[in-house]
Amino acid sequence: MSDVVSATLSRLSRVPGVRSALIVDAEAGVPVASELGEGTSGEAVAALTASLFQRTERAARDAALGELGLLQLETDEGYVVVAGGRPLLVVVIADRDAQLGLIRLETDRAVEALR
Amino acid sequence: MRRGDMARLNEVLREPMRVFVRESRAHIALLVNASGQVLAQHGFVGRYQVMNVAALAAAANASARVLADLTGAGRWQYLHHAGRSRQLFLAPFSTPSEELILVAIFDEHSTLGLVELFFQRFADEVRRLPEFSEALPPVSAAAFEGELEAGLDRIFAPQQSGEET
Amino acid sequence: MALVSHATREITCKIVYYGPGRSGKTTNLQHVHAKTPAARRGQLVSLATDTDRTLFFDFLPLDLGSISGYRTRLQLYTVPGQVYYNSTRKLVLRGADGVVFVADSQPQQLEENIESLRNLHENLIEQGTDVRDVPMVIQFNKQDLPGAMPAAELDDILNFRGVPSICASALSGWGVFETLRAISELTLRRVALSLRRRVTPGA
Repeated sequence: MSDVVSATLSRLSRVPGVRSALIVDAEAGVPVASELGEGTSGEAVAALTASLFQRTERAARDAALGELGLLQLETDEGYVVVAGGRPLLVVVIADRDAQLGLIRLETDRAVEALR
Repeated sequence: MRRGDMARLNEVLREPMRVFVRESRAHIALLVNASGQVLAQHGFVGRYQVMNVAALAAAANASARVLADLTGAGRWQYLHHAGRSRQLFLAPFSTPSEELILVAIFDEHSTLGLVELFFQRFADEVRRLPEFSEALPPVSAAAFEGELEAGLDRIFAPQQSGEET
Repeated sequence: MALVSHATREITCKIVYYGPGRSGKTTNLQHVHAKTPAARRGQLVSLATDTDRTLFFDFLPLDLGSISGYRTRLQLYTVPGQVYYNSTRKLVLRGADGVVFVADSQPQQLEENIESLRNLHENLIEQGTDVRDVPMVIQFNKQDLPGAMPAAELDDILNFRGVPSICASALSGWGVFETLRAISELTLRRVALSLRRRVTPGA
């Protein structure tokens, strides 16, 4: 694992409220690196978030809204944030009480670092 | 090697195959046993195409297996070929009755990760089927070639119309 | 296509054992493997089904030692005989320098022999190979079985190219090495001929 990737991942997973953080190969839908919370399947998350991002990306383009930058899901227990673009994606899974603003900030930073 | 229960096999495998194809977004999928005998298929147009892919898939699996042995790599999980627009996924899995191989072709509407994820679920589903839970009786040498064709005969039988596959 | 290295003085030829299912192709290789000293052969790799039918190929590398100053190696392959496996059979046939056609002498297998021979020619033509150019030997295997068709009759029906034919019972080993020797000679002679052609100026 490269230094940039592991440093980025470390930083993300240290944000309060973050359960899991992953760097995903967008094309293959497989994890490149991950720090996972208990019971989370890295492979499944990587595959499904990459697929979701890809399809949402297409929808955004078809709607003539330009390139997709970030996808955010809200569930009863927390958030899933998927950001970035080819070739890598940054995926963060966080608790409901996490500071969303902070997570968004750190995610943007991560995307920049990986560019 | 399979015998007379081909019809029932096609039946019980239909739903798992359908789910796999739908979730993974693969556009062609084929389930064969280690000898290349076809147990289920989705998206193929004709018997000869299936026959070729089935035999080659079994051969690819066999050589990959030996390659892994010779190089001390242990058992391999899957074989992936990334083409320019299409990709091929080939994965063996064991059931109590026999070793099976799933072959899937997908394009930019899917990813390796997605296909692999739903392959795992498909494999678990098949392993739970009663038809795959017991060891099979041995096949007679003379019946071998007939057995190979039996899978194709079932799948391309004229009475199977209105098939979603 | 024979691999020739003038620098290291080595020749490697590919010999393919062809024929209908269960005619004894794998048995031929198993016997060669069992009877050849370890120093002169590699491992016998068999890609087979759970019912012991060849699924893809069997492969056995042999070292014939020095012939005319060239270290000569053979790579023996068998193909799966069943019609079903034609696509894999074609792959194995690619680049064959010599072919051994293993015919099953039992009368009930005559049609299979004919069909397999036809299939061999079809596949060679598809590859762009002139069938008449390929060194070939026919082995009438299972001659030891009661009711086996006489070699002369089989020769009449199957050997329209008039290639060397050898009687055998691969299971007992009879005729296996004679067959191998015959095909090696033919194949090496052909390779030597093509080498000379390339070396001679203005030829």
